[in-house]
Amino acid sequence: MERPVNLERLQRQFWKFISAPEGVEKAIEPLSKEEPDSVPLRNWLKMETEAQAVQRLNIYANAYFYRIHDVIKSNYEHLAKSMGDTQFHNLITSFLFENPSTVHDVGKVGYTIPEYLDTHPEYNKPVWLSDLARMERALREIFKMANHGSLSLEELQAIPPEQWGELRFEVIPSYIELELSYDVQKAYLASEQDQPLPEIEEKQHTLLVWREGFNRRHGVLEGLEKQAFRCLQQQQTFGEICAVFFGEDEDLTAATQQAFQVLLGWLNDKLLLRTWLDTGEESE
Amino acid sequence: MWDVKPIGHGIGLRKEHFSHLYENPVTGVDWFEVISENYFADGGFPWAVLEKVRAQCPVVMHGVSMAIGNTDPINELHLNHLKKLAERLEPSWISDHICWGGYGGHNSHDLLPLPYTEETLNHIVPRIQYVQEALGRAMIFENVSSYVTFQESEMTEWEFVVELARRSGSGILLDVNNIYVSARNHGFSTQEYLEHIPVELVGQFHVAGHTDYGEYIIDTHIGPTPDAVWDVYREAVKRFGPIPTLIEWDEKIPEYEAVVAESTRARQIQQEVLYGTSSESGTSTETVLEVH
Repeated sequence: MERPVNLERLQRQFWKFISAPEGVEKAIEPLSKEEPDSVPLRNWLKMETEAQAVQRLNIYANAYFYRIHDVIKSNYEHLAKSMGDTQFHNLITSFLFENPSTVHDVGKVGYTIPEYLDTHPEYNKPVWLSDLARMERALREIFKMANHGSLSLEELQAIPPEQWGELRFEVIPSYIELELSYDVQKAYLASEQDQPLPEIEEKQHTLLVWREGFNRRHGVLEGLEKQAFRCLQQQQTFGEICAVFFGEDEDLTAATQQAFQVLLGWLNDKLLLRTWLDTGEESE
Repeated sequence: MWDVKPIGHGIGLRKEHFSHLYENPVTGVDWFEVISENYFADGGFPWAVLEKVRAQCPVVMHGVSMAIGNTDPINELHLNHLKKLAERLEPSWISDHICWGGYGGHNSHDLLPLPYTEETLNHIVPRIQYVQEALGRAMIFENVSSYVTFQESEMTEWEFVVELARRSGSGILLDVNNIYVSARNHGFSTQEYLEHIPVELVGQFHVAGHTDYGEYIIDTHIGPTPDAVWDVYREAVKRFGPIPTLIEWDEKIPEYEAVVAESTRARQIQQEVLYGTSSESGTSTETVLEVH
């Protein structure tokens, strides 16, 4: 197959003009050095005047920027609200200039915005914005994961109490754990309710984001529940989960009750996919 | 070879109508067009809605990112996603655009205009054939709106569109709003455009709105459809017959019934033009036939 020399040149010139961060007109001078044939624009664009050529090419330049800007804004709605329009516009201008899209799904163009904020402190003001962006990204990602059911209370109740010690559980696939440095749930909830932003404290914590049916949920995972959740992820038995709560007083009944309450919480939150016994018998 | 049969009138499946369509049966339209790239993910509410809709009526897949005119290599990942989606959805047909979309591995997420040259045809025809072979079916490709034309173009847009379809074995998705927009922006005749498209190549119509800025107009898919576009649609129906017609409404999308009302208007115009009568409403009774 022959290489389309003219088409390739035309696309290169066109691309350089429409992706120039300050618009077509300001790109003319610098690009005239890089691409001498591309200026005047009427060398290659069939327009009556040079001004008309600039105007028409700007339609594409604006569409390029604003389509991506608007999609990222809708994906990071609360980040955009927290930053304000001007700062968000500047963030996307800078981000897009450094990271032109290489993906076919426009919804994924802004995927690395949280990491970009981490490395560009001039936009990450206040410093918790990148954590808020991380939370919004996770909430979006879990929404697109494969649909699945969850374990019901009836299924759990059908299992005889004497077998509970050997029960194992599987977590639903549509969850993401985030290690965050700021309590951005507060910012997220305030923004969602159109309330003024509260003071956001520095707080190292694990945020669990998951999908309950078609609803998105999030909650802090901490203390013994976090340890128990690790056991759950490793598909350890309910007996081993109980051991997490087996404190210094070595009260087995209290530990079992605590473990049961935590398990019931996960069940109500639709975090459990299925359970089974070591014998190979499964309950979906 | 391209071979499509009429399946009536459709609208785009849009997130603004997800709740309505999840809770209610499909009414007022015969089929839905889905943006292929929006369903490359595994699940979620959009998929639940789509599965519900698909169980009730045909769907067609309309892509926005194939960028068949790019000088970059064909995106195999995109093609694999498209193939998997087609296997899952069994669409009546698959479409994309006659355009390019990026350069040097970068994507503009726009439908950029091509120069109408032999070189461009020689570049795109084998790419379409490659994609059609991978998908195991012929596709239809849509004429895009444009705001610039190129000095090096050797033929008119309609000559290019026809040659592309003929040489590649694909069909044409004729967007009558795009014809109107480009005709206004570049000063050609919509009638002349339509007259040069062979009837047997057209598989679908798109009808949509645009925004008029005086010196130029932009294809914004904002509705309702202006009368000038309905006039082009009338002429198109007169020439091409009962081609499946889709209403595209992507800006300030109103409630489901309002978009369906636009589709009903297209149905009535088709009835008037072809049979001199106008059906009040309701869906088509035409047999649903698939593309082979």
